[in-house]
Amino acid sequence: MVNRSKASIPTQLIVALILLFLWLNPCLAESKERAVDVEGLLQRSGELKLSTKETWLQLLKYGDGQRSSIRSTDFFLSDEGYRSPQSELSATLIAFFSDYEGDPNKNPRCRHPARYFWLANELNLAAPDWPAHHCPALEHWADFPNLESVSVVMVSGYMGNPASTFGHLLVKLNNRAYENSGELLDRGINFGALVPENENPLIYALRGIFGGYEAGFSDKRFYTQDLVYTQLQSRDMWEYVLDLGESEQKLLIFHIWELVGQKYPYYFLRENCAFRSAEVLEIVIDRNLVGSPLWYLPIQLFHNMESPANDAQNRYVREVRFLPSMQRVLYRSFDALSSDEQARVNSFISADPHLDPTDSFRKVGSQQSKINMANFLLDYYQYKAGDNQAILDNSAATQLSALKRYRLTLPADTGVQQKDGDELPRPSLGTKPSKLGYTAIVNDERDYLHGIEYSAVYFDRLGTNSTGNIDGEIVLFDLKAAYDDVEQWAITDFDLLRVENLSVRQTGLTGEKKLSWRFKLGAERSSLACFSCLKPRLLGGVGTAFGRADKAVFYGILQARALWDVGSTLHPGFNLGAIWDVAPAIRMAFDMNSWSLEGFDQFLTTWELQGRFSINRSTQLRFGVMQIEDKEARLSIYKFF
Amino acid sequence: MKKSLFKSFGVAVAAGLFISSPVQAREFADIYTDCGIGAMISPSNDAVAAVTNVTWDLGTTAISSDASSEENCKGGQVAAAGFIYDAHAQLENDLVKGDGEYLTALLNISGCGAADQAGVKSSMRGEFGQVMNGQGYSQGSDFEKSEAIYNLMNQAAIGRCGV
Repeated sequence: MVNRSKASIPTQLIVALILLFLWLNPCLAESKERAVDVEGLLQRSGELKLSTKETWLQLLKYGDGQRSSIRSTDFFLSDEGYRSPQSELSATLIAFFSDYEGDPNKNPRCRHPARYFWLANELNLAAPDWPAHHCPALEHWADFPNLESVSVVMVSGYMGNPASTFGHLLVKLNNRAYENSGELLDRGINFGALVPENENPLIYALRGIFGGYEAGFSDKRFYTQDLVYTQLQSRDMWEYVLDLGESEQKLLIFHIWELVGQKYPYYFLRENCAFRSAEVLEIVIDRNLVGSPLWYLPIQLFHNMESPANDAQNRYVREVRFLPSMQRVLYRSFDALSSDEQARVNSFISADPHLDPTDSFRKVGSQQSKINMANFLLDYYQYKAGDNQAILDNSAATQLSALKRYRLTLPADTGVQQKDGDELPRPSLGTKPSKLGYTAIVNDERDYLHGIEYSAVYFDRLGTNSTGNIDGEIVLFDLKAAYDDVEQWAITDFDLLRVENLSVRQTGLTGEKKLSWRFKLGAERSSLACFSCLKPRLLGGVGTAFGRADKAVFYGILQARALWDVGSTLHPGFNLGAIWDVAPAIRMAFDMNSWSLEGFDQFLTTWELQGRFSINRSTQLRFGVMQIEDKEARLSIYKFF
Repeated sequence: MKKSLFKSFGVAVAAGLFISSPVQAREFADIYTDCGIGAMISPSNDAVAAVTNVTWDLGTTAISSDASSEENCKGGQVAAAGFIYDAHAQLENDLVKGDGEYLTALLNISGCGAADQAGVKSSMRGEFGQVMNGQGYSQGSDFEKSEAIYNLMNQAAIGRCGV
């Protein structure tokens, strides 16, 4: 055994410490970087044609055009950067490797960490993730040690506002440090237009459609989205948790940091929240998420992101989580109450608003029941306070205060709130939004006809929409044309907009029954005997529906139709109908309409039976038989894309 | 030699603890005014406010990201004040029940560790009854209710949460 002298051990330790110090010393690392040959980097970047690489163009947001879609001038380091990827690349490399002294957060590398990360990798430079360790604001914002994953969140459509009809989309940065408070403190990356306060709704619509606003990404905590979508508007959400490698995730986070606060033009139909979010995700998702559509709906990103088949082997989506709306949680919580508790809760809601909760609950035997009911009522009033159609009046506010005081006399207990339950299928399992179809038509008067159909957005009542439930339809620009030997081609039906909301009572909670309604703007034939005889048509109706949204729905609608034809143009009437699921792939619908013509002197009754058979997610067979004086039968094959 | 170094270090640390003052809570009104937390969710236009794909301000705001260039609008207190102002109705509900995601989120954003949160929640709930019975609380403005919850939280955090 070697007997080491006592003096050699401290010497070795000192040498090791000196070497460690030299290795870790940032000053030495910096001086090592200063030795980078910038001219050499510029030359090498040219040889590698980095300025033409897809990732570089994506980082600058060039899209398919000749200029960047970002309008903020300080996003670019070159005066020509907005239209010259090469100029911007050169300016970026020079800025990155020039001496810098000052606020570290304003260091070009800290302002453009994704560019640095990508360029350092492409040019084989050391420490491509330098910004993650030297940019205080970025480090604080991203919280890299606790950043668990990135999600893309689909928010369901909202009939309360036309701009939200097709849903919304945002990106979420998931932080494991706050898991005990759910998603509330995750960072939500949300793209939207900058709309001035008190904007006139008509001006808002026109400017939104024709590019009259600037827009950009904000980065508020997710609770701001929860308060609006989940609570105020009772919208469900689906969270697609992305499956990204560490390097991919870092590049994505760096890129989002670069973009937050930058200004873009905003076009409601295409360059909207979904389009811009898809652009961002394309930096790490090697798919054409955007394409070149004339319009872009949020659901399209999820269709493009998921693999065509079931997602067992999906490359980019680790899991999909359903985030129910406050209304859905409330209904589940009501179902979780005992029948006696449900009856008492309904009585309390329906009773004198000055009723003292103490008196109401006195006869309730168990303390747990009192807690369950009081907790439910607190959530109920919170839900009603967020409902735009039912702002709490003074009486309800007084009742709520009394309820809160009463609840404070009972022990702390969160009770029966039911966040977990049956999940709605994720939207990307439904059909894609656009439809193209071929139809074979047999008509009493015309014998055999060929028909073609096209629709820009076709989420109809027979379709496989996002929820799978029977709850109505949204159809945009639906055109049907037919051909015969006599008149050649003619348009037989047209809907510019067709919207229907069938509200089926989903709960025993009192006061939750809502009206069903429909609206149609387009053109229709007044008779099946004629061929090219379209008449402009406007239709609206309100009514009621009952049944089960997941099985069968029956409805009655009082409606009026304005048909621009010879004679009386306004026809009041009513509609009775039913929609039912025969099997998972088969849905049927029957409608009977009765119209009053010529001021109640004449009535016209029509009926229609339709059916859908799903061959797969993108292909359906449809059949229909209808009578408007004459009869017509159709057999169609639809392709969704 | 080593013993005397450690001893000196320990004395220095102890002196630092003795001398340093506890974190002072800023007044809610000061944060509200200085950091503009009044318009977090949406503006006053009801028709447009219902649209949720709009962004009222861009970028890393003082409240949401703590990355503002304004030094006095950084930190957990400011973030907590903004959170309370936005979500005071949800926080009230969680307080009377005794727990909930919003109440937990508030303590998270304030920097209160998980080990201390149960005690703070219990203390806040205990005091909230007096606050609710206080003069005019129920008819108070959003600002007044938020200020009350903010003060409640700071009071309950004393002796806990590193305060």
